[in-house]
Amino acid sequence: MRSKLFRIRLPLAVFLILILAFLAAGYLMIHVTLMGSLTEDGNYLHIDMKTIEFKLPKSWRTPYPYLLPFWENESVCAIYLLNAEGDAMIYIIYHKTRESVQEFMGEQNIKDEFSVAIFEIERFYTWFLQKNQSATLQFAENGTIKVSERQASYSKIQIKNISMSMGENVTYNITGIFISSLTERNLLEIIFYTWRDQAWNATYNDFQILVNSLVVKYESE
Amino acid sequence: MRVSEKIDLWLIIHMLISGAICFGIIFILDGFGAPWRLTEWLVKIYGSLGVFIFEEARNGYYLIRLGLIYLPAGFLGGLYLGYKVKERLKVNMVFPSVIGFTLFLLYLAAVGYQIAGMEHILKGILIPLFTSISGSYLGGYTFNWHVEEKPREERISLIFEK
Repeated sequence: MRSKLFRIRLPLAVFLILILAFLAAGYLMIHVTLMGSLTEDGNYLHIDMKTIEFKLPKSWRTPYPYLLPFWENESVCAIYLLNAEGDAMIYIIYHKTRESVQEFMGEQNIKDEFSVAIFEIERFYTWFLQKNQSATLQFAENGTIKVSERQASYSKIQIKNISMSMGENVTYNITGIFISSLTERNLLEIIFYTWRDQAWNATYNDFQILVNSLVVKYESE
Repeated sequence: MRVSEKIDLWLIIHMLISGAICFGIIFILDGFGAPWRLTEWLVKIYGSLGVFIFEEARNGYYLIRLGLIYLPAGFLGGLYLGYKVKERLKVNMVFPSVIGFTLFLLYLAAVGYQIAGMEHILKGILIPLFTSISGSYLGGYTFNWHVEEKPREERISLIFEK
């Protein structure tokens, strides 16, 4: 057996080669995945999951490795995305089965599609209210839109005067849109919000591209 | 009898130190997020961190973690033990990683991290542990790599004068 490789002891050489091999293999996997999911113009990632398909602007990111960006089981699929600056966020939650929808709506005593959006807004606002008593909620606009060939209800809101830490003088205004689309068999929720005023204008176009390209592929029987 | 007891005690102490080294390296590299910083830097060249929505990309990052955290941690633990202990390396070199990784799991449990499910056991425990043990052996044998060199062949030619 050889005692040395590249003039260094064989075990040390194997160790260095293994590190390089791990790095190269990992990088290659990421590179191939990225190249395989870029759209033709190179500006978007084509996210094609078992349940949902959509176009994600290339500059957007996931909260990985701190949080799992995509989570799915037999009844629910959830996606969490944020922009490069981290001041705009998108959640997509899809209750895939009739049982899952009934369970969710039954637990929260929700009767219709629009009430789902209102429930999520209240939950969202309560979370901020617990941190900051002076936070105020304003409903800006309610209406209906089409998402993935489905009718959906939406509500646009603003939460004003939020300070995220004790003694902090800077306050934030959250602007958000909550979309819910309910059928007999499933429920789709999309939540988009920004916590800086200028971020809304900068990222709303990205959000529209994502929503317009969204296709729900999985429909339970 | 006394001599062997003394040797065993020191062996255990060296094993514990090597395990502590292994744990310390895992803790530092994982705590400072060294693999993520490198991966983020590499992927930012393409300007798209959204790729980590795909499991394949997350698996790629997992491989980078194995190579940059667990392999070097096991290697450095093994390097220490290999420097201090010269006998029964095949058996002894398992311990730096086993001790170090066990300490790391205890730390994770203490901070509330849960490892449950077969995928977590495989990717969260077994594969990192195996990688770390491989590193320990490589580290241990780096100091104790002896190969008997073949004697240099000399060609002797006999020239007979007529």
